[in-house]
Amino acid sequence: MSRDMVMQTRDLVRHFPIGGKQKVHAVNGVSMEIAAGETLALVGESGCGKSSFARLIMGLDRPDSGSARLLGQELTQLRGAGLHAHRKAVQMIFQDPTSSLDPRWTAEAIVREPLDNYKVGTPDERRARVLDLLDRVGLGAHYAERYPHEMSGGQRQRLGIARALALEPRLLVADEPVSALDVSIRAQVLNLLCDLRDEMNLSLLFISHDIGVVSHVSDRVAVMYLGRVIETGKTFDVLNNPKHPYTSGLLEAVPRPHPSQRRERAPLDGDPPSPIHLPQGCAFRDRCPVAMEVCGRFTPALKPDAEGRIVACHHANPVKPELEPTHV
Amino acid sequence: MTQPFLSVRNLSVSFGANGEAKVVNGVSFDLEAGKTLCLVGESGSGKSVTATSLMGLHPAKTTRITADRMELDGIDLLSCDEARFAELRGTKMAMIFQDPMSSLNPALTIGFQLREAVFLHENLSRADQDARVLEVLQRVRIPDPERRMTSYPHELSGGMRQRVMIAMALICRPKLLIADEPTTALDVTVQAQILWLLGELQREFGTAIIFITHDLGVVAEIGDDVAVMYAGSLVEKGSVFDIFDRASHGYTAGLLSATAEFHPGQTASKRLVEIPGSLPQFSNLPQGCNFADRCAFAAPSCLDRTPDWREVAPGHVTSCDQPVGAFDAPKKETAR
Amino acid sequence: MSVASITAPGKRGPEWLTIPVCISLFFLLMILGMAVFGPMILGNGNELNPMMRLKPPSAEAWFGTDNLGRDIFARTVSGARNSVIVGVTTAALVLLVGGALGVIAGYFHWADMVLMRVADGLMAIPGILLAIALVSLLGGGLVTVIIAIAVPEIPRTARLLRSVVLSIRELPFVMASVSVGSATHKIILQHIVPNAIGALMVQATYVCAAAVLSEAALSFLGVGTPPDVPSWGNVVASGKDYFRLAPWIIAFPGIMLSILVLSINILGDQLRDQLDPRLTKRRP
Repeated sequence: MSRDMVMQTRDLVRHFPIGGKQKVHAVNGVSMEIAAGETLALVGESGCGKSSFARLIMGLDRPDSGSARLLGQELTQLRGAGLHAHRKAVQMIFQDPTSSLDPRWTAEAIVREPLDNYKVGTPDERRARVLDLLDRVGLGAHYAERYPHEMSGGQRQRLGIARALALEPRLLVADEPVSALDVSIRAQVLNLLCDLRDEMNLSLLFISHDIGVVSHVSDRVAVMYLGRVIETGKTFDVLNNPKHPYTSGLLEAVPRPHPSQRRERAPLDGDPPSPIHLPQGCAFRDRCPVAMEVCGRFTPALKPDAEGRIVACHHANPVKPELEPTHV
Repeated sequence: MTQPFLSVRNLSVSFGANGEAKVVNGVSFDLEAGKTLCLVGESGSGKSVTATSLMGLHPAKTTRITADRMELDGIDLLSCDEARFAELRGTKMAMIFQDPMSSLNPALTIGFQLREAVFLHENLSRADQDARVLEVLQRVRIPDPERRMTSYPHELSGGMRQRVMIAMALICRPKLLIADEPTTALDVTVQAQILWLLGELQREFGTAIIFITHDLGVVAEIGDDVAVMYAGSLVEKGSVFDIFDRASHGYTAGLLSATAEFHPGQTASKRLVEIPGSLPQFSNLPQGCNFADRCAFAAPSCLDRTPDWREVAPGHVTSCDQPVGAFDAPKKETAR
Repeated sequence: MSVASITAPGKRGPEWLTIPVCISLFFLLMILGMAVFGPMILGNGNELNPMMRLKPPSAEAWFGTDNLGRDIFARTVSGARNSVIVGVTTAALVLLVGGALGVIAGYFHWADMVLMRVADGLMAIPGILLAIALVSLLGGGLVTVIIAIAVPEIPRTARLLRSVVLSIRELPFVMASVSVGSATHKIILQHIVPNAIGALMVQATYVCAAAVLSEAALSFLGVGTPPDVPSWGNVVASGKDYFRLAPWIIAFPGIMLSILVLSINILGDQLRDQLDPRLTKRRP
């Protein structure tokens, strides 16, 4: 890749032990990259491992194996001061604007916390910077003395954005940033986020289950299912011409925006399998309308198909028995 | 003229000993048997309180419910006492909620809880109860229903739990089902399954459904009629096509254009239309039209006087002083 | 809507100064005054007067006298000193030690197992028995009594704080603080502890009140403060044999004890609300 990669992961794995010999296979080998200034949407349903992946990228959790390079630095080997420096470059916006703000801190203290931690400028400069940040997210200086409970949900999320931008990060991880907000507020916050991203040339990892929002915000999409990326590509390509049967099913399931387009056939059936007992082969095969015998034997690899679209499906990339090893 | 199946006129609900918190303000709507009415609104719009008032779920001591009429299938709900409501719930009307996990008792099996629902209203033998439970579990398409009867709620997925809740609601064949955001906590693929199931069951049993949601996509998928609520008041009411094609209240039009939707062929990163401002608090409602200060089409007069109800087309009413057709609902691609 | 907007306009004073708080403050200051100045003015009330045994309250002896003719008023006023010292010191000690242990156990998984097993062990022994054992081990005296009362309370407070901290540390704002680069000690002192302070304050008033009662119980059992230094506990203890004959011996220190405990509880509740910005400051 000629472009400057902000984030690059290779086969990232995270399993949570839950007693006995069982474990939750939250992240099962995720390889992903985000270029500078690019927005990658991570799409998937609850339990697909997208939030666990975000925690790994944020350095809030450590992977069991695999590598994660952020700005050329291997995150998995960072400790102490190195990790502290890394955190400056990667910031996060949380789903719930209420519980992600300390109720006992004023808006100013909340936005100031990261600046104090990294001793950015003099105390006076920090205060000026806080007021500037509040202004940029559409909260005036008179909000500085307010507590989170004195603000509306949308204002709280703006405050969360200001905190995340205080250290001028290179990569912003937004975990469902608008799904807890009221419908009439979402557009404001999404537009603000996109404007600031463009102004500051941020890379954005946008985690969402809302295809509509994703189609407006992202350049590329990665679809996750049971801890793996099963399809990735340009947002336009993936949403208009999905290659993986799960992506098709997911897009089919999104409610139509107009009553004249009502569903005429039954939607994708079933639930994702348990992440505790991973099925052999392709994780989606139980629900897949086009599953074949080979799907139960081999886990399909995520690689380009004939059209150059990157997808993990035996239909897109037929198994050549003479080339494939017998174990997967 | 025949009486509609459910008729509500000028329903107001206030909480507190002196009725200081007026959360629902003069709501009127009708619902025909076998049809779906979507109550659309955001947090604090009063949509859930409207529904729970129909179910008689508010304690009389702290709630003041007034209405000119509230009739379900010829029964005057206004004159019902607690005992009468208990009789009606389950047999005439039933309700499902957003979070199926907290609506089910985690310590009892699915079969036990469903049998209880039958037993409350009909005196049947244990074998007949079991047969009835099995039948209804099959109706809501729960795979392997015999085994599921002995399962506990935590052993089921979210979608399966919501199916159990639907089974429990429908077990005594109520004529009215009130669904309060039943798919909000579910994933999209599971939401699609539940919406599909509700449609099938409605056709099968002829149940009328009041579907409470904030999601316009779901409304487009399931609604026959739509009532849009904002800050405790109804702002627009009409058929689903009236609302989606000819929205005539500033709030409805704003919501439709501000919702991020995926349209095939759309190039990415299009800027969304915003609704400015934030939701008003019911304790501090603005003068005039509640939505005027956020409305893209507001005239100066909107800030002063409460708008009148006007009928813009037969069955399509709006509480907006702007002349009809002053603005159009955003154009939607029709092909998918 | 704030309380102030409901009450009549023109009302003076801050809104936290409600009538129960005023009354509690008055009594607390009165008892503190008794504790500080009582022994100076009235002595220890140890003067025996065989002519004045078991006299009911009168103009001469306001609260009556006990079986040795000692003035109950002097003993009650002077006894405040011991009771207040025991209550406040114990609460402070328990809060500091139990609170710190609870926060450590709640925040650090590695410490949790060890600390909580020790706490379970201590909690298996009834508090008053443990206190009696400690007093007999360490000998009498005020310091011993305070330690003896504090030790059984520490695991209770630690356990409570641990569970509060466990739930706070799972809140996203803690994760947010980690991700903006805050050091662990900063997170604990600036995010965890302030949000646990409500529970801590309630526990403190409870411990303070319980300590005054425990001291009374220990004195009553004869293992508390030395009998020549009056405390409400040993005044009550000395009156227990004459309860039917002279109920005033028990009544007056008992009433003072109830007033002190009640005042501390009311003020503790108010303090907790005062420290929570969600309950105090409201702006449109």
